[in-house]
Amino acid sequence: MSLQRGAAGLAAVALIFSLAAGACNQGGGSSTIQVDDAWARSSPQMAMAGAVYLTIANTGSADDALVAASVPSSVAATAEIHETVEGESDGMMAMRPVERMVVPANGSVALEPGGYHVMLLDLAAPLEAGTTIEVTLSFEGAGEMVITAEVREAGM
Amino acid sequence: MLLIAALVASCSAGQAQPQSQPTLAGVVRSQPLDVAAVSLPDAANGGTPLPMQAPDGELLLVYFGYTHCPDICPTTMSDISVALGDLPPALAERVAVAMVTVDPERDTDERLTDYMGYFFSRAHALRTTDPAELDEAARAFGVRWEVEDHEPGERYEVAHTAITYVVDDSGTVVVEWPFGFDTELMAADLELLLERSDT
Repeated sequence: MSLQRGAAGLAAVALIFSLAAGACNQGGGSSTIQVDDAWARSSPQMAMAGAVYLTIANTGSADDALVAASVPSSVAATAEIHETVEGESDGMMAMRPVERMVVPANGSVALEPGGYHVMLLDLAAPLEAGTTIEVTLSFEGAGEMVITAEVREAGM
Repeated sequence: MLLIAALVASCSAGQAQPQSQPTLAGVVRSQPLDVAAVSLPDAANGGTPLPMQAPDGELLLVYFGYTHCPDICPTTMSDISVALGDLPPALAERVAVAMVTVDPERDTDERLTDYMGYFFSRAHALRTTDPAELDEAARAFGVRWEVEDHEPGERYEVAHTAITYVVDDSGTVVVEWPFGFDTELMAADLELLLERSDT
């Protein structure tokens, strides 16, 4: 995304951050896992797939791992954790399913464009900017956690 | 390589070095690709073949992708849209964006047109159901793609080259942007190329 934004753009981004952060602290007060800045890009009318991006921090002293994700059927038929990888020899970008994404102790992992993402398959409806999606994340140690992802306007 | 390109661009795009010619931030080949001979049906224009050559004084951005792609393709389209939004409107309107689908099986004319129209006002939705024609177009750009084996009706993914090609009014690929290329550098490249074509 562009680094150069007007003051209004920055304020909007800051607002989204604070909204996302506020909405995301739903995983139980004692959890060592914290999810921040969860978002998805708005999608064209006929798009079938989408992606949710977020950052997972592990404040605990033991590694944890994200092992599954799901969304209500009103959002998409299926959600899967995927990673986009670039082929070494051919330069092709491909996706592969990820069964277990480690979040290291006292560390964090970003799911971001071009890397890890929660892929939404067979969208039930287009993702509209300004709406939110509830995503259930399952961690090996911390268990299940419902987070809220903000749908942001494409091209912003 | 991307980082170096970015550094070079940030030096040349700034106020320093007034003597030196500004340079493009993206990848420039010593032997530029000539794609003028390629044309593909444009579903956004009733299937009329679109030559890979921008109208006079304009630029055509070409990307090979597919609409079921959740991450790379919409990120690239969104980034290009940000870059166009950074340009003065008079320059932005001289840039059109085309996606060539590498998944004509699922990307119907209607779906691809809707997808591109969502991101851009000057959009081309290039789709051929003739594998030889798609192959020929991809070869001209050096694009590779691979459709995952699947039964009819089954979900599948398509691995593909994720480069954005900037084509000028002679049908030459003047600069290429790899995935994740900075949107400000995209805008700077477009501005430079459009201003060059004015002189």
